[in-house]
Amino acid sequence: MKTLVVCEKPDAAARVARALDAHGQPSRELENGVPYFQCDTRDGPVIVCSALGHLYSLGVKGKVPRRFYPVWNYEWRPKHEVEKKSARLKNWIAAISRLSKGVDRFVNATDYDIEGALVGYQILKHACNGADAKAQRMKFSTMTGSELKSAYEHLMPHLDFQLAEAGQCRHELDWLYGINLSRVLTESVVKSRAGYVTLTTGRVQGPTLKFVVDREEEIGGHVPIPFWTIEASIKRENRAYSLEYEKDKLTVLRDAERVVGECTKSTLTVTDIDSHETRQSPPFPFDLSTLQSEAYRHYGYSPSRTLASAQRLYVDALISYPRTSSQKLPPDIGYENILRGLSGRTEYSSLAGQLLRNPNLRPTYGPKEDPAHPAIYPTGELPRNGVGYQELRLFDLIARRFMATFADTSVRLSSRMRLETGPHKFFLHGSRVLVPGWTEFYRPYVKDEEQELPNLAKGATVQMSSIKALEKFTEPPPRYNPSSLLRKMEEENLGTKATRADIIEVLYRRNYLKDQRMQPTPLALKVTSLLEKYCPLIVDAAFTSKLEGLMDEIEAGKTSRRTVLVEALDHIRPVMLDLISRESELGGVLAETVTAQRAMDVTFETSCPECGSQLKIVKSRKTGKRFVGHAGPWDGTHKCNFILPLPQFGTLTLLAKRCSVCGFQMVQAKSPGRRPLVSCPRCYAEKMRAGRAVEKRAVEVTSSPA
Amino acid sequence: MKPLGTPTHELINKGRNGCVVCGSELASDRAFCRSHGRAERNLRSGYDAWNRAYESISLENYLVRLAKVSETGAEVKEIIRYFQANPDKWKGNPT
Repeated sequence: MKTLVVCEKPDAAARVARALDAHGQPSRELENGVPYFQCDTRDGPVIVCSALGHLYSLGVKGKVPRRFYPVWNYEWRPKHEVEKKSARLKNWIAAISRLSKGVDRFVNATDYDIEGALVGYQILKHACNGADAKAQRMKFSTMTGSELKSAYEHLMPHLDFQLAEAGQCRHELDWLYGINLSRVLTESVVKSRAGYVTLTTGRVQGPTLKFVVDREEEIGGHVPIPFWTIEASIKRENRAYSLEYEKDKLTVLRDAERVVGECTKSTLTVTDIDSHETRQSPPFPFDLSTLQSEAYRHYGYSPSRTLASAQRLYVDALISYPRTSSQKLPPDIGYENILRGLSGRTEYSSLAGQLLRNPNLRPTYGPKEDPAHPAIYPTGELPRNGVGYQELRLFDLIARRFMATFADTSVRLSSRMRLETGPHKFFLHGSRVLVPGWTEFYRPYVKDEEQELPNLAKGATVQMSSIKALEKFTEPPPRYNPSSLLRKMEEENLGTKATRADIIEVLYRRNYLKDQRMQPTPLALKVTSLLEKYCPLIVDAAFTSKLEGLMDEIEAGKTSRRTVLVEALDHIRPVMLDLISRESELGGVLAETVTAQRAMDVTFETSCPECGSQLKIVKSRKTGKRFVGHAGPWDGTHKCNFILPLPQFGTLTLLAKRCSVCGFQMVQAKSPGRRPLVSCPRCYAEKMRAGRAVEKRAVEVTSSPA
Repeated sequence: MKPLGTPTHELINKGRNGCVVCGSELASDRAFCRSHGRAERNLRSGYDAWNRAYESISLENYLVRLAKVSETGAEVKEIIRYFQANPDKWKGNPT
C-alpha cells in the first residue's frame, strides 16, 4: 500500500519522515525542485511531502479590474495565480499532484489547528484530485519521534472537516471585509490626487486600532488631579527605613501639611508587630498569550517574535505545539520522561531531580482549555548546537515554568510593624522566605526579595528622621504595548491566537502606530474617526466578537459557513454602498492627513543647531544616499550646510525618544528579519569625527620623521 | 498632489463652522470637536477637584499650573490656551 503524507512546512515533513522511516533515514528526493521524502515502513512505501503554508488563496471571481470595488464574488484559487510573489508555489502544487498519482492512502499531517486543517484539506481536495473525502488525519501536539509514530499508528478516520470549514469561513470573511473596505479607503485617496498610499482596515484590524485610538483620546483629555503622599523615614543601626503613612494619599493640601507639622521631630512608639504567613501557589502552565506576555516582560520580545521562536522550537521537537489556549497538562504527556529529559541539562538537573523524587507528580492547572492541544511544555529533548540565542532563552522560560508547575506552594512570612505618634499611624513592612517552593524553579523569572524589619520590640521608641509631603498628580492610563494590546484583543475575543500578533505587526507596517508604547499616528486617528462616523459597525469590537462566536459554532458543528457568510454580507453590503456614495468626501479628508503625515514622517522635531530651521531626511540626487539636512539648499535660499549621516538600509522612523546625551531626536532603521537599529544621528556623527581624528593623528605620528 | 503648507480645510474651518481649537467637525451642539469637547468637560470638572485640594485656587492660577504639569493631556493643554486667550468663554458655552 502506497501512502502520501501531507505536512505543512518542509522542516516538519523532514521530522515526520524521520519518525516514520523504519531506519530513521528517509531518502530526500526532488520533484521538479520541490523536496519530498521516501520512507520504508512495515505497511509499504510512504511519501512525505509538504506545503509552504497556504497553497490556495481567495481571489476575485471573473475578470474584474485590479482595484475595482465592491467585490462580492470570490473563489479559492492556487495562490500563485492570486499573488505574484507566490510564483514558486506553482511548482509546489504540480509536484504534490504528481506525487499523489497511484497513491492508495492519503494522510493529512499538518498542524492540528484551524489553519492546519484548512491547508491540508485544500491540498488534498484540489491538488490530489478530491482525496479529501478518503484522507485520514494525524493528530499530534509535539514533533517528537515517539508521538509522531503513535499518531501515525492511530490515525483519525477522516479529516477535521468542521475545523477546515471554520477556517475557510474566517478567510472568506476577512477577505470580504478587508478587500472592500481597504480598497475604498485607498482609492478615495488616489482619486483625491494625493498619490498612492495603502490604507487598510478589516474585521479585526479596525476594532484593534480603535482600542489604541480610544486610549490616546483618554490620555489627551486627561486632567491630572493633585494629591499628596507622606514620605517619612527612621534611622536604626545606621540604616534608613521608609515608613508608610496610614493613608496612601491625602487629597487636601492642608491635611498633608498638618501631618508633616505634627510629626516632624516626633518620637514614634512601636505599638504592634504583626506577622502572618502568605502562601503563593505555583503559576499555571503556559498558554500562548501568557507565554507572549512573559517573553515581553522579561526579554522585550514582541508577541509575533515570540510566536516565531516558539514555532521553531516546536519544529525542532523541543516544545509542544505553541498555538494553544490551554493551561492544562494532562498526565498522558509523560511528566516523568520529560523531567528525566530535562535533567540532562546541567542547569536543570538538580531541579528536575528534586521533582522526580516525588512519586505523585501533579502540575497546577489554569482555567483555560483547548480541545485540540495541551498547554505548552518542553518535550524533554534538549537543544543542540545551532539553536538560536532567542530560542534558547524562550526554551529556558518554558522549561522552568513547566518545572515550577509541579513544585510546592511558596510560603513567606510577612511582618508589619505599627509605629504611632499622637493620632498618626505609620507602618513598616518586612518579608522573609520560609519555603521557596516553586520560586526556586522559576528563577530568574520571579522576584523573591527579602526585606528586614529593624530590631525594635513592642513599646520601643524611635525618632522620626525625616518627613515631608510630596505633591503628586493622578496619571493618565498607560499606552498599550504589543503585549497589553494582545491581551486586550484576547479579552474582547478579537482574532485567534495565531493571528493576533500579525494584526499588531500590520498596524505598525501601515504606519498607523509608532513606538513600543503605542501611539496612533494622525492617519490612524483620521481613519478610525471616519470609520466610526460612517460605519461604526466595522470598528465595533462587539460585532467582530459576535462573528468570532459564530465561527466557533461552525467548529462545533452548530451552524454552517453559509449561514455565517450570509449574515456578515447583510451587514457589510449597505456599509460599502454608503461609503462609496461618500467617496469624494472621504478622499478629501484622508488626502490631507496623508499629505501632512508624509511631511511629518521626514521632518525632525529638533531644529538645526547651527541655523535653527527645520531638519529633514533628505535624499541625495547624485548618490541616492539619505542624510539629515535641509530640504533644498541648492536653490540658493538656504545657506546652512549642516548635515548628519543616517543608516542607509531599512525603513527609517523618527522616534519620539530623544538622545540622553545630546537631546537630538532618535531614529530607528528597521529591516525585515533584523532587530531594529535605534541611534542618534548627531552622536553617531560625533563618534565618526572623533574616530577620524584619532586615525589622522595616528597617521601623522607614524609618518613624522624620527 | 497638494503642496506642503497649503491650509487644510480644518484650519480654514477653524472658528467658523468647525471646532474653535482645531477646526475639525463639531460634536453635536458644542463649540468643540469630540476630543476637545471631552478635554473641556474634564478641565471644568478638574477645576472643582483642584479647588477642593487647595481649598481655593483662582481660575487663572489653575490654568497656568495645569499647563505645566507633565501628566496633562495634549488636548487639555490646547483648551487651556484657548481659555487663557478667551477668559470670557469660561462661563457658559464658549461659542
